[in-house]
Amino acid sequence: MTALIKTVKLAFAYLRYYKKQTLSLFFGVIMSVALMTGVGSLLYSGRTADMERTREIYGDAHYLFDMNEGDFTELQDLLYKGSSSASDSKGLFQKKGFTVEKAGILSVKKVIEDPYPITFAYADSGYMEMFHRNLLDGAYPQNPGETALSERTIRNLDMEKSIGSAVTLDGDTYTLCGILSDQWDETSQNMKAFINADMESEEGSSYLYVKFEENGDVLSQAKAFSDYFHFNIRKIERVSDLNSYVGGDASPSVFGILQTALSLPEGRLAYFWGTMNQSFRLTEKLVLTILGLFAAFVIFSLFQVSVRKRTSQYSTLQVLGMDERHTFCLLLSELYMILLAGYPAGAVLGSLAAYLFYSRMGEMFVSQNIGITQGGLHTATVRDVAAQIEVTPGEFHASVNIMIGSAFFLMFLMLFVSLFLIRRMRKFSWSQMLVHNTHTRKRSRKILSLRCQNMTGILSRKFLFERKGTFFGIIISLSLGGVLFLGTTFVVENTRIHNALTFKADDGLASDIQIYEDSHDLSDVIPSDTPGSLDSIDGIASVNPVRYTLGEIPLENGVFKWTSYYPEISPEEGFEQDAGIMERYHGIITQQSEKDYRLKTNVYGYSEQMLEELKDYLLEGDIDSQSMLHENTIILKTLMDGQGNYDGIGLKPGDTIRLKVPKDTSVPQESLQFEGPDNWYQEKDFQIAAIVSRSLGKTDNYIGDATNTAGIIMTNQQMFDNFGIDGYDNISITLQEGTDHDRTADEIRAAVSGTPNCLVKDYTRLIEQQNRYLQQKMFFFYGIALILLLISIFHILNSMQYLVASRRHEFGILRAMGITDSGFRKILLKEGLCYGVCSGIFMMILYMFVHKLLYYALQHVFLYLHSNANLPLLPMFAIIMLNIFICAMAMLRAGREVLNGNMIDEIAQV
Amino acid sequence: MNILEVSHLEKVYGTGKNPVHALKGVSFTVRQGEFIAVVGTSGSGKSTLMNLIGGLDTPTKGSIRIREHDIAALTRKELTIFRRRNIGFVFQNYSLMPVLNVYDNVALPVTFDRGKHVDHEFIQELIQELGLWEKRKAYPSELSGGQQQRVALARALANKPALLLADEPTGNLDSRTTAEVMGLLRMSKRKFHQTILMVTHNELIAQSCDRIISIEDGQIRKEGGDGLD
Repeated sequence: MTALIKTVKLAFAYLRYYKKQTLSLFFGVIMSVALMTGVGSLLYSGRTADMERTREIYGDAHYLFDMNEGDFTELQDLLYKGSSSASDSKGLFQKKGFTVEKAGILSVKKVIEDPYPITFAYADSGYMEMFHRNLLDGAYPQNPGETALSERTIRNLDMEKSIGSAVTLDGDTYTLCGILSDQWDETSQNMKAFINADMESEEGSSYLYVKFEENGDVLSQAKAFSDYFHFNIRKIERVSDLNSYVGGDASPSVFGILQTALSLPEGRLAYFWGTMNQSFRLTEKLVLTILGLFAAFVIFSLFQVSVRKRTSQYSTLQVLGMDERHTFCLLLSELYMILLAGYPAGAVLGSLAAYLFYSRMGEMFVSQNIGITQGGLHTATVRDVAAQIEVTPGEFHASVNIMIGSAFFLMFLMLFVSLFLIRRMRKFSWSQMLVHNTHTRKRSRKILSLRCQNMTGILSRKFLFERKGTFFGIIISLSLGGVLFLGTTFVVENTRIHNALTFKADDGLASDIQIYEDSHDLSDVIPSDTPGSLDSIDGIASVNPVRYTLGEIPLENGVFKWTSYYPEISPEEGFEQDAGIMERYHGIITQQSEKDYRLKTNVYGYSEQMLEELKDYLLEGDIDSQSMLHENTIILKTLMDGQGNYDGIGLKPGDTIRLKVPKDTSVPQESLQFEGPDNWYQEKDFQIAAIVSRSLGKTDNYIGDATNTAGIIMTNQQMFDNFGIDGYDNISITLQEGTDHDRTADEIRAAVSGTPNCLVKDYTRLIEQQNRYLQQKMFFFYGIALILLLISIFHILNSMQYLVASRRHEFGILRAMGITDSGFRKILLKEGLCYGVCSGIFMMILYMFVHKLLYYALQHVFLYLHSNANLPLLPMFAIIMLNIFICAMAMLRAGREVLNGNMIDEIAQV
Repeated sequence: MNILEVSHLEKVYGTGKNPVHALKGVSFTVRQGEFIAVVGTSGSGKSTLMNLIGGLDTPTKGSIRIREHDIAALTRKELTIFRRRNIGFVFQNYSLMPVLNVYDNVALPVTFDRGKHVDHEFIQELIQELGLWEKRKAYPSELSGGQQQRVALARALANKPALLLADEPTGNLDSRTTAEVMGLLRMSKRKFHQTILMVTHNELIAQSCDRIISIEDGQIRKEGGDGLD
């Protein structure tokens, strides 16, 4: 104990004596901790906001239990015989291993299919509360024949939205007694009609929805709960993605994921990373690890300078009897004392900066996609989600886990650094012995001064390459900051391009205002003279009308390569096509024979401007509206798989495809199944001019337009010339800068008011919001890149100082022998330039590998649209120049200290 | 002819309450070709005197004239060039460039004068005279202490300096090597008519010099031609 106290005292004395090094290390620790905890807290706050948004959208329950499969009497008794507010209190039902916070029961009485699939159910107050089914008007059904419906269901059933209105469903008439708020994911496929508990049940199934205490391990509670109520755990069902935030999902086996990945013909890495990322939030962890490693590197680099200055003192102490263990304790004590002082300051600084950032730009850390997909199917478009529920960042949460984690990480790291330095000290004395006693090392025996009069240049080179290990170590460390900066900027730049492209294509936000037909009937079109009438409205910059029809193309003789891509043809169990698409169109794809398929495609007619914009999504070929018109060629919008590949359809520009479309709008609706008689259709051959990855001005009706649907794109004129289509499906309108969009939107609404099923949507605010969000995102990432660069510069300055400090003795001799200050500076400048150039070259080589890796990840894991594969030459050049400049300046700065120092002391230093 | 004139030299380290007077009014002269030993106990001020004469440090008071140049009047750059051309140093710890071989170590100070012809014949002669020819391609770490000190001596002589300052040149050597190095110093005095000022604490070694200046508590206690020649 006494020895330990003495060691700590000695360590403290060293820290006080070498103030400059201690301060460098202190700031290094503060910056590293601030960066890790700050970024960690930002990500954590975003994730917390995601969780709350998921809870708001999908409800508060974790699991549902089929009540026929277990004995839940005890819980039921509590729910129905206990107090009415039982479900509001925390710890509603507690037994060993689980705590039920909330529970609710949904009893399904009847399911009808016509006019829509509607579930008649009785729900208790627990269920209604958990799923946010608030009563907006009226009361919950108390008597048979009464029903409570959501606003959306009322709209879908074309009812009058007033208490007392009636609707006849499945032969029975129901009176509307209550109007409920919409359930987020309630679509025309899963509407619910809430009825009285006394209604006779045809289904006889009841479901118990349970919310457990969110203690980070909800799954274990569910297991204990199932055991207690004799429920087969295998039959448990998760309610929503909420479970993934509260430890409610079983961790997939890494080995299993690896096995599946290896069994894939291609995209193994992409699958492995993608699945692991989804299950274990790897991206987030990778970001923190990279920041941690970077911090580690900086701390190590700073500390070794400090240690280097007193290696001889440690040797003396060892000669005096201090063993390696004590030296190790001494080093570790120093580091831990600095950590103890720097960590709280860093954590506070990081959290404060993160708080300020999050409170202003927090939206960027929140997922924009929650609510858009459910069970792999799109339930709403981004634009609709964003228009209804604004993404809010919520409150800032400092992540205690990250703080504890990074503290342990740094403690472990410092342990490792101390061990490493002790090992190096030992090695150093060995190498010294080798140099003195043996001559195994091969050295140049040339007399250089005979041929070269510039011995200062030779000295520079000799200093550089005398210790090759040190040289390469410094080169690697100098280039790391640059690689991180370039990697970050590459990802940021591609994110910007990707966001801009998906914003237009996937999110359908290419124009300020959209007019579209909300119909599945091809005869519902916007009249052909409408675009002309819109031109006369003030404030409109451009009008881009889109013609549409549904078509089908044959993909024969193995042209269609992804034979398990569509649920209709996939052998995978449980993988099913959307019921609506199956019912209306008999699926998207039909198999004719082993290698022959017929694929339904959207067929679009675009304006010239839209074709021009489509060039951003070009995969192959050339887009030229004039030659398309003259040669009657088309553009194929191809399919994309889960790994960002586009080779599902083996067609190339120049190939010909036969397009089949309904003859005209007089043919029955069933014609869209493409199974009717030939006289319902017309067919035409087209040569493919280009292949693109996305479409613009798309329609969400019919078979939808996502990455899993193909499209044929031509000019509007071709649509008319080839198929006689002259009406429009949708019109994209861009407004002039500074236009009063509310007024313009009103005028547009007035212009199309007579068109059946025609809707006008104003996306101006949404576009502004999304643009703001994108700008914030860029700002943040560039900020992080800049911080990394600053830390890197700090590190370069320190490394150069270390280099010069380690040669003070030699420099002292040179000065005594009469080297002038300028001559001395020249030596250092040359060395600095050499370090700059070499680290630049090494950075370039290293970055090429990182670039390839990042490019692959962006394309195949993160599915970025049209990632730029080119090396960022200009930023690379700029970073190399900056590195050279910083190295040279750092050397000169360190050299100034030598020149200002006492020559006698320098000579005496060995 | 006087090569070196030191008059009323004082050096005070530190300020405030506890100044240390390393040298107090030291004056003496050295003639061309003299081999002088400066002796004294540890902390007597002999190394301070050498550093001031070599222009490695600046005096608090007094003047130092070498070849009739007051070195205090020189600018930093002038002093550096003056030192390079007129003063050769031999340190106790040899102070060789570990990254250069023997020949390049010796030639190094000459190459600092840009445009100056490097007299390789003279350097080769020096190396041969000092018995290092066989070792001319060896690195300092491959040499014995005596050999390293010989290289340091050759380097100090390479610029044909007006004054050679040797600070305890035999401090790290055994008696046989000490005798060898002293022999070489005397040889250089004889052959190149070299003026040498050597600091030592070894009275016996000092006896082999032309003159001995004895310093105690920063003052010259005794000065006289007690040497062998």
